[in-house]
Amino acid sequence: MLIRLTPDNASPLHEQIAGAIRQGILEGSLVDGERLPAAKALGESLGVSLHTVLHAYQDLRGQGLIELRRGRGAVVTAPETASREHATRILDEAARQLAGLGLSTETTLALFRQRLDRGKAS
Amino acid sequence: MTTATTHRSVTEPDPRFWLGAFLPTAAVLLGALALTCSWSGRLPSPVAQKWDWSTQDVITVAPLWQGVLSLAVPSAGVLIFLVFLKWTGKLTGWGRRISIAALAGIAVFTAASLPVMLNGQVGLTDPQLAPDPRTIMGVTAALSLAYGILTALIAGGRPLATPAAGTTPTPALELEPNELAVWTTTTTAWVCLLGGGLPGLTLIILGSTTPVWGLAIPGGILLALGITTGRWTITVDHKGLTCTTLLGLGRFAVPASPGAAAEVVNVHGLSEFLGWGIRVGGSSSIGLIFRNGEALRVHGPNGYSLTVTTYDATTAAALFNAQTARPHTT
Repeated sequence: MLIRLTPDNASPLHEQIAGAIRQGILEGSLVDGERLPAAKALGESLGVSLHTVLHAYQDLRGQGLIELRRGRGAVVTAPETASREHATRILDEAARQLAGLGLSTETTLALFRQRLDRGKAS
Repeated sequence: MTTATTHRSVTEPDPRFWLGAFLPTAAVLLGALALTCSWSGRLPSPVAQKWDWSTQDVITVAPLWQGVLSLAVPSAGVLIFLVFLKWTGKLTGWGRRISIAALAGIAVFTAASLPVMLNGQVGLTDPQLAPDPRTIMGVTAALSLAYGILTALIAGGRPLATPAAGTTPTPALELEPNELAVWTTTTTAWVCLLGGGLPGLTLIILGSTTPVWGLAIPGGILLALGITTGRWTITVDHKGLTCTTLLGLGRFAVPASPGAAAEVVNVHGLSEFLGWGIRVGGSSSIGLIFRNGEALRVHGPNGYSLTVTTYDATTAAALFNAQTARPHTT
């Protein structure tokens, strides 16, 4: 897992850390059950505070991508490869069709989130 | 990008091997044969070759040439195998010293066993009267072991220090001047886990189910070592490459200092490292070889190298090379 941080970036450091780990999980390089580095060690390697790494881990836990277990640290809860690839195919097709409608990315995302929320509520 | 496995040239002069290991061993073999030839007229025919373990009586007699065949020929065979390893480049890296120690020791022991076996029979007419040479044979075995270790020390180790000529180094990752980057992964070393865990568990079970309870102590130590070295975290960051065991109890590192370089290699545990696990080569070169295949190798200054089998070694090597290229303040 490669994590790259640019301190001058507008995005906060914890978001950049979470983004790199999220990308690893979604690309399949971080598999289900894999343990992430200890927050303290990762903070020392990146030259950031323990709090920054823990903040990133808590964000990922909120997104359901990792679990924080006492004694085991952060553990990836990645979707199954088949499910992830199926979802990718659906989204690729949807993105291809939506691109032809001329909607802004924000509008498309808002519509998509609305459908997801409605699906969860029902 | 994967480069070829690095080995020193097999044609490189190696006087310490030839003068320190090969020649003395060959001299022992020739000396044993010469001594046997000089005694041949004064030996019984046939000669005694085996003794009963409990009564020490002679149980096998055979013509002298059979004794020569059964001891001198294996000795010569082992010596030829040692030379074969040398010529095929197998004594250029990992396992050089243990190969030399084992093979030179065996060659000397089998060669010396011939005169040791015959010494007590000189002047005898009846081979049944030959004394059991077990005591002197035991001394010969101990001396042969010491000889093997000595030749290995004289022959010395060979570090895998220099990348193979003609290979392309792994390009450095492009990092912004103030960009922070870390590459990290964890790997399970099944070879350590099973190699320490299974014997450890067996000894613990034997220790707790038999009167020999003391077996549980080395069993517990083996089990703890197996568990500890069964899981490794490999990290490349601004400090360099660090490989740590579970709970950080063991640690190997190469700093990302100027002069250090990383590459990706394909390793074959058995042929290159004489097995898998934690391997120690010359100049303190370390191999954490948990499987065959892709591995990250970092060459430090002074011939030190650290090789660790891991996936995505290309990214790790690229980041390491990027970190070494950065200005260092420490």
